Amino acid sequence: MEQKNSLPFTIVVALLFVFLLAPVLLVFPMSFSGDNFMSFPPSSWSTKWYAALPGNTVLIGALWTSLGLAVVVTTLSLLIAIPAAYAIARIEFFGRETLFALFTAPLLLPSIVLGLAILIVFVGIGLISTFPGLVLAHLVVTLPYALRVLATALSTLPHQVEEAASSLGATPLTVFRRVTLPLMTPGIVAAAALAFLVSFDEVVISLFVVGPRITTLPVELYRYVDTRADPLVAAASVFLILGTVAVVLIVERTMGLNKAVGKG
Amino acid sequence: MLAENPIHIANAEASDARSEAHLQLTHLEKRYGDFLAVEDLSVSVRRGELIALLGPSGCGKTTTLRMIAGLASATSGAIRVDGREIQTLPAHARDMGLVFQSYALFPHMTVERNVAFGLEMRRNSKDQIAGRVAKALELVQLGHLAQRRPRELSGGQQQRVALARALVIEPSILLLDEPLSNLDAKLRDQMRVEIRDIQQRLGITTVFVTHDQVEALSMCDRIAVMDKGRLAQIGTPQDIYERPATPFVAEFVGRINKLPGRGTSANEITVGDRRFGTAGKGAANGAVTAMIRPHRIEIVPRGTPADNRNAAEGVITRATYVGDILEYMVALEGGVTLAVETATGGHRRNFALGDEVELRWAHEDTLVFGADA
Repeated sequence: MEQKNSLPFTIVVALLFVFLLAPVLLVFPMSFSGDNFMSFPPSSWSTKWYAALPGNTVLIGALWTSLGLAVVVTTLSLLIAIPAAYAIARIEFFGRETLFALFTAPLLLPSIVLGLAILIVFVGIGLISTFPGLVLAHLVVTLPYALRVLATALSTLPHQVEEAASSLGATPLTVFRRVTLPLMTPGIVAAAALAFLVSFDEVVISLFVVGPRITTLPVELYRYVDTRADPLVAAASVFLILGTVAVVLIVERTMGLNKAVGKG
Repeated sequence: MLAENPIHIANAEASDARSEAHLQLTHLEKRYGDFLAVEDLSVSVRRGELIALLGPSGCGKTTTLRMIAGLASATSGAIRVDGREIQTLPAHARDMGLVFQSYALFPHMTVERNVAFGLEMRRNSKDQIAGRVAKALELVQLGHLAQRRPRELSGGQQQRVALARALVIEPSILLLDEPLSNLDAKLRDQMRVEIRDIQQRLGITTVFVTHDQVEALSMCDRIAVMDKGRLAQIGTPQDIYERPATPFVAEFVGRINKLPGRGTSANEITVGDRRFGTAGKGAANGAVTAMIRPHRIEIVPRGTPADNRNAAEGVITRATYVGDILEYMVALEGGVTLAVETATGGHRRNFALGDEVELRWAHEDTLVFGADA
């Protein structure tokens, strides 16, 4: 196999990375702007937007809501998706493929359509502008991701290892607890991280469900730039970027560790 | 008195069954939709016996093993252990040791934990588990690798862990699914001897699934040859090799020449205008196929005094040296070509391409089957 990449290939990849990352990286200098409106390059430098951040009670409140929401949504996603993925990957039953297609269908629908549909249903049953309402709405988007990742993790796990366990006297529940679950840990970590990030970043569907009583950080940031032009959002974005990188790094470390321990 | 008698009879039958058949498959059938994977299979395995299920891939041998283990359910038929029907029992309650082709070790556990798993399921005490695990690892000579993970072991070592894991629970029956086919040739020979040795020492009833006739012939007390889901023949290695019941069995267990001919009597056939004596019990009249193993044919120079064997004159059209044997192709007059194998050795006379020779083989080495073979 060819090991060294050619120079033109390296240049194309470098350009792609610049194209993808430049807007994100621009946020960093902008957050240290001394101006009262967003411009690049800033005419002066200061940390005043970082100082102003903790004082913005709306954004801070929305941050806590988003964090709590992401934690609850992630937990529920795993609790639902792990048994569902197991059933779909391991148990033969009528309509199995249809069910899997149905479960993962929201991935293919435009978020705006989903948001509108959720709004129509939720208005009738009083879930708009409530925490449970947001949880349910986010689950619609996070479940397909979690299910897909977990089903893939299960399908790469050799079935014979489970059969060996049962031939050694393990009941189906014990097989799942002692063999299946530990072996699908990398998949579970990946599914959890994905569900967490999807929920934490979700804007479109949240826009339909939030209200005066409850709001999320992405929605508030969106509203903020709609009415104001100062670089406060840049400072907030820096924290979001660092937070996301932290989650990805944690996953990488855990997955890496798990691969070291788990793969035969 | 009247009430006692039937009980005595039942007991006598039960003990009879115990000494006769440890594992008994009766009219076993497995159907996947329209496809019959296993059809009317009846095999009876004696206590302490090592029996092979031998056949090409897709012949239903692994399906049969999975039905015995409880990993697949039979469409119909019975599976009895010590006379007791076990099909209502789930896999985890069948008490069978299973070794997979892929070994299927638990990758997240050490060798020691892998072997201990079955004992933990049986709720043995910690001390007892430690003792038995150590003993089982000693049996397969892996005591020094107890703390390793499966991925740190070679294929042969993994294979031994799988064997120890299956044996440590002292199962009533050991099931081996192509356990040697992932090993290289040298290691396979070694493990063949080792598995047979362990099986004999423990006296454990064993079902061995394989597609390799050498494994089956060299390791097993009896062989059940399967063909397209059906039992083609069951018997000792000698039965299978020397007296194959069908052309399929004859061809599957080793190289063999085929000669189209006509049966003239119970122990004679004609091929062209030659007459050959046969093993007997052949189809009397009509078209037949005679089969002769290449290494049972001797090549002699023309003019060698006749003996009471079959003889045919021919010309060597190919001679291939394969180290331990020489493979010849010999064209007989009349268009038939026979493969002949002779062992190489200093005192033997070797023939060359184009040599005019005569072939000799014993009557009983001439197997006769119906013409459709």
